[in-house]
Amino acid sequence: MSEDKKMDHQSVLELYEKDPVEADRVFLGRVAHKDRRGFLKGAGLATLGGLLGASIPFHRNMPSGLIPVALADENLLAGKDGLSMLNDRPLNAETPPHLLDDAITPTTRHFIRNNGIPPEDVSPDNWTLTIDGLVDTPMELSIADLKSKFEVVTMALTIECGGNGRAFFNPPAKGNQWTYGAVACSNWTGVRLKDVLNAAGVQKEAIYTAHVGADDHLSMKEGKLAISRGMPIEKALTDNILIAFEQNGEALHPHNGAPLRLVVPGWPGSCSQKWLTRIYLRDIVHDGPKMTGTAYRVPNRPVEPGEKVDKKDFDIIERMPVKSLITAPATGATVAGEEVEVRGHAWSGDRTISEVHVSMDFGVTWQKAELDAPVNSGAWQNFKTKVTLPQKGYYEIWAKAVDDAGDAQPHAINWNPKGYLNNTMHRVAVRYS
Amino acid sequence: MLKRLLCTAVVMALGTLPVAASEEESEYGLLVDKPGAEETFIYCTACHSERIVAQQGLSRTDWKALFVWMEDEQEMEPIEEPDYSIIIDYLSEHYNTDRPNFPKR
Repeated sequence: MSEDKKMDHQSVLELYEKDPVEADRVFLGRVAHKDRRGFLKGAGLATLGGLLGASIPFHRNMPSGLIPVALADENLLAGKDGLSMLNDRPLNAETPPHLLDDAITPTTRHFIRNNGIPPEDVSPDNWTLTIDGLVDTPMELSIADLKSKFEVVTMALTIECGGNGRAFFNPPAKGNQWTYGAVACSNWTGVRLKDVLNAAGVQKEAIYTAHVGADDHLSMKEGKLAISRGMPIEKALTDNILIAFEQNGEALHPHNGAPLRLVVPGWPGSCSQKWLTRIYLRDIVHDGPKMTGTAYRVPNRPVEPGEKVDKKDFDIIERMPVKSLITAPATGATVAGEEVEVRGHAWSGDRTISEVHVSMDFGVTWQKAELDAPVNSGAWQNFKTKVTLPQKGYYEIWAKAVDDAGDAQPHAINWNPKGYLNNTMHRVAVRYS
Repeated sequence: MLKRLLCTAVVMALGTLPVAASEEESEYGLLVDKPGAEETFIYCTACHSERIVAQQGLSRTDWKALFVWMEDEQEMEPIEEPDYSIIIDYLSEHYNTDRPNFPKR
């Protein structure tokens, strides 16, 4: 299906969500009667029948603005705007870079990476979080308990999928073929994981956390977890990890983990368990699904592209590497003037970005961009600069971030069998005409 | 099917969008309609979307290894012959490392 058609499918459903009566009029020619029943005019009725693959004997009874459930079910990306869907079961969708231009990513543009089937009931009222394992006082906390017992904080936190950029691996690597847009930095409101763990009392044998969510495994096998990851206890006790119940000041999007999730900035997104129900502390490196084998692991030594690597030679990924994304101009843009504003974000797990350089001549010359400090630890940093294109023609704008440890983005992919950690420079095409 | 019809309807309703009839989806979703597509679609979509299949570009060896992983770790029942070979042949031919059918987005 072409991009245009996908967008339009989405816009229909979005208009229905926003203003069902208007959507009826625009798309179906259906006009509301005083009794709130819809009146389908000839063409509209035929259209709707066509959509459903059958005529509607009781169409006169259909309330105005009622979107037939057969169509409503199709809207997998409700509440999202402009995302490209990679997979619909489990749902995985990324955001084109030019739609990530906001300093704080709106919920509508936060990517979705599901491993299993999300829970149906995500009401916050009866949700509980269990804290147990190697703690002095196991706890069972409602979301109201979290809010009343711990300091509530809001932080802008960057989440990037460990496989962002996998699409560019050659030979190809298995998994969702993310390009650029499995990254976001929304405002998350919640309580610090550190505070909750300290309240429970971390025992000295504890070395690793283990996270459990309410999503089902794709097989729907009872009790089988889709994913359960963890992190070293020293990481879990740092300041910028949240147990979050709000995204951008509102309820979390259902596919971003409503009503409760972990947010572990700067580490693979899979550490940020969604639909969070339990965290337990262990005296071994957690061995839940997608902690073992080669999942979220890379070889512990340099390897040749395509090389077969023994499982014992893989290490668990911890911090995500230095990276940047150009969010303006959009790739393929045509500009009318010689001066072009370049904008974007840069981030490096557990570190800050010290410089971002921009080139418009295939990397021969570079200019330093203006770079904002992070709004808080764990947030990406915004950069901008103006480049001057000397004459009409085709240009590529490249960005290269350097972090405070001196690591810079590479030109070429550090190939690894599972397609993780592609932090190569982002290139966008610009035509000056 | 519904999606396709809905798109068609939008074109009718707005009257300004190009009709792209040449890009009809096959009966097997994103999977290219060649011998073996039916078996592949039926078995794969029992647990997950065919979209994750169509994104991959794997050698025959890696496709086989992926099936072992799905059996060992992801609750897949072993696929009996002749279906197993039909599916492996189909995937190795149409979804190999040269990615002849990588989905456009």
